[in-house]
Amino acid sequence: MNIRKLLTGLVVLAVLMTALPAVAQEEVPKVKVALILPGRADDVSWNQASFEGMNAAVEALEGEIEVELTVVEQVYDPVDIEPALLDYAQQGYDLIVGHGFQFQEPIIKVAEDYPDVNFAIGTGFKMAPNVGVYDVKLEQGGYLMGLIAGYLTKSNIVGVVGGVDVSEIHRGHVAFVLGAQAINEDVKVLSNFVGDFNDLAGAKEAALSQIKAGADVLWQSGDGIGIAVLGACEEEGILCMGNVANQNEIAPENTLASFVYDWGPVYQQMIEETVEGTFGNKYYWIELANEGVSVIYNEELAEQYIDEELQAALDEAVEGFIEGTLDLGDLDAYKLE
Amino acid sequence: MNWDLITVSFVVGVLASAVRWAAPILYAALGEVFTERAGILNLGLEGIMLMGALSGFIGAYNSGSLWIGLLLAALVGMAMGLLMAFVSVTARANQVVAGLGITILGGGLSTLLFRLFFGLRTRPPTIKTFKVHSLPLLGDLPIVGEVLFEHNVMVYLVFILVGVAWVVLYRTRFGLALRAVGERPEAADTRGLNVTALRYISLMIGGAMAGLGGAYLPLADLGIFWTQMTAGRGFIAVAVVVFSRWDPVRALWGALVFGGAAALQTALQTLRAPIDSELLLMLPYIVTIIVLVGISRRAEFPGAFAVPYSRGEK
Repeated sequence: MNIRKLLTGLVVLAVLMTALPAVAQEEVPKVKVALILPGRADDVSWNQASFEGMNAAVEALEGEIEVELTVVEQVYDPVDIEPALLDYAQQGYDLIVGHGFQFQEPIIKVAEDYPDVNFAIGTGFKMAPNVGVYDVKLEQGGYLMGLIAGYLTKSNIVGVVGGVDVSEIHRGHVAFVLGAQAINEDVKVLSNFVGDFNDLAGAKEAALSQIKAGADVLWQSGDGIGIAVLGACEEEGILCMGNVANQNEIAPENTLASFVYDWGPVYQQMIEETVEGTFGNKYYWIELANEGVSVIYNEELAEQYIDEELQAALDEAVEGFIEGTLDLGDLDAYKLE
Repeated sequence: MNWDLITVSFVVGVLASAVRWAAPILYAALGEVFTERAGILNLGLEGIMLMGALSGFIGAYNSGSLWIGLLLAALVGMAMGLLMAFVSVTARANQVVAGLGITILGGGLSTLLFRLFFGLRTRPPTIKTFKVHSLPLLGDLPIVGEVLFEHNVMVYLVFILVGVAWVVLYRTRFGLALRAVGERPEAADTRGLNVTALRYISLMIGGAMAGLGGAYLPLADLGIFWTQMTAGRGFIAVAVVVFSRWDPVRALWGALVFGGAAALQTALQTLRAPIDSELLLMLPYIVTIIVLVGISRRAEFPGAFAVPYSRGEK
């Protein structure tokens, strides 16, 4: 009996030994990715777009790269960011994604101590060999929305509300001004910042203030507060536009279009480069040219409001951005006040 | 700067906006007047307001009645006040630490419960808010009508509560007992007043009012709940109480000063005043600090302010 057991054991072992190399050949590379969001993954805006983009990237990579994804929400307070980064770096994650401008400084700091871990900053300008920046050309969206607002306004006053005057939000607001002025010489463009991405009541007051000043078309540069701006437009019965995610359904009678981000391809590229070892020290942009951003219209309202002249202006601008012939100049230097 | 945008209608809009800014803060501040008069500092208002916002929203969403939402918000706020009472009165913990703990708890718990109740959504759940009602006759007054008498019912309610709070505090036996407990708890104790019970009640009143103040945001203003949507209003309420020198009527003015500064900075941004938005956003807080510095010299804190009481201890 014992000899028979031993023999069977040996046979099993032999089979396993021959089988193992075969398994190893088919093995796909594994990557551990942590996505840190400053807000809720269902905010119909900044965080949701990132969450959905990352999930799409993981799905698209199935079979090629095995991604073990961890998502953490609500790391909003700057004092919480660094501990979160350290935590994931120590746990051996390969790529840590901080989805927001506020992650820039802590990531640059932590990345120095963890050269084997890759870090990605969602909008910013600082880099390192293991740090890359992914960003959105929100100026393209701002300009297009500015064209729409400047063309459709009857009072010749339009407005835009955003969280804080930094990074892509600043570029978006400035381009909104330039777009509106490009199509309407007489237009006045109002701009408000709420100073807090969660203060929806404050955002609503900002929108109401612009409407009281005579604005009749509003855009917002995203985040939770953007939803409150759409709500104010719905209450006051004026036209508005959304940002980041398709928000046309939030105030369906008033929201004419949304400038929509798709982070999926950029996230996919960042994960692939992490496996190849080529990640870091560069920008990963989403823009019209690589279809990372697009304008999605509310069909019913678009039919009613977007005539041939406006459509032609929009098409021309989109083409100009894609071809690189439409240059808005140095947007960072432009002061909004 | 767009001077030509400054019309009568715009200015009236700024003033009405100040009232809307003030209302949720005033709810929490009125409750905190009672709490602090009894000798307790409750820095947990921010967290209690968030729990009030959440429970008010859930109550209204599930029942279809905004009033049931308000009731739930007050009850949950009261429960949070009870928790603070247990920690600060019974366990005699440091009130600053205990209050900040309640704030952190309220922020985290409201977020967690919202996710548990509603799951991960692609579109936020919404409710219909209290409608704006123009009061008969008063609402027709020029300027004043639109500034003061064209609001939702929760704004009118908080104005009424200012009067109620004043009467309770200064014209009832309960108010007198509450003030005695805050000034000289040992004297109140020897006169047969139950210090512990009165302090518990004061925190329950404060909690219920903070719950209502939080619920103002989803139920009377926005129609949706958002994580951390109070955005510091609870702490402003604490500052308003010091400004008021623990008086409900002066709390009304304090809330309006802050609301006015907030509405003014919003208006200045809208007009594209030649000042950075970052500086303008500081305005309400700078005004609060300046006013507090001016006031605090004259402010006489309740005698036993933030001091836990125990019998036989000096």
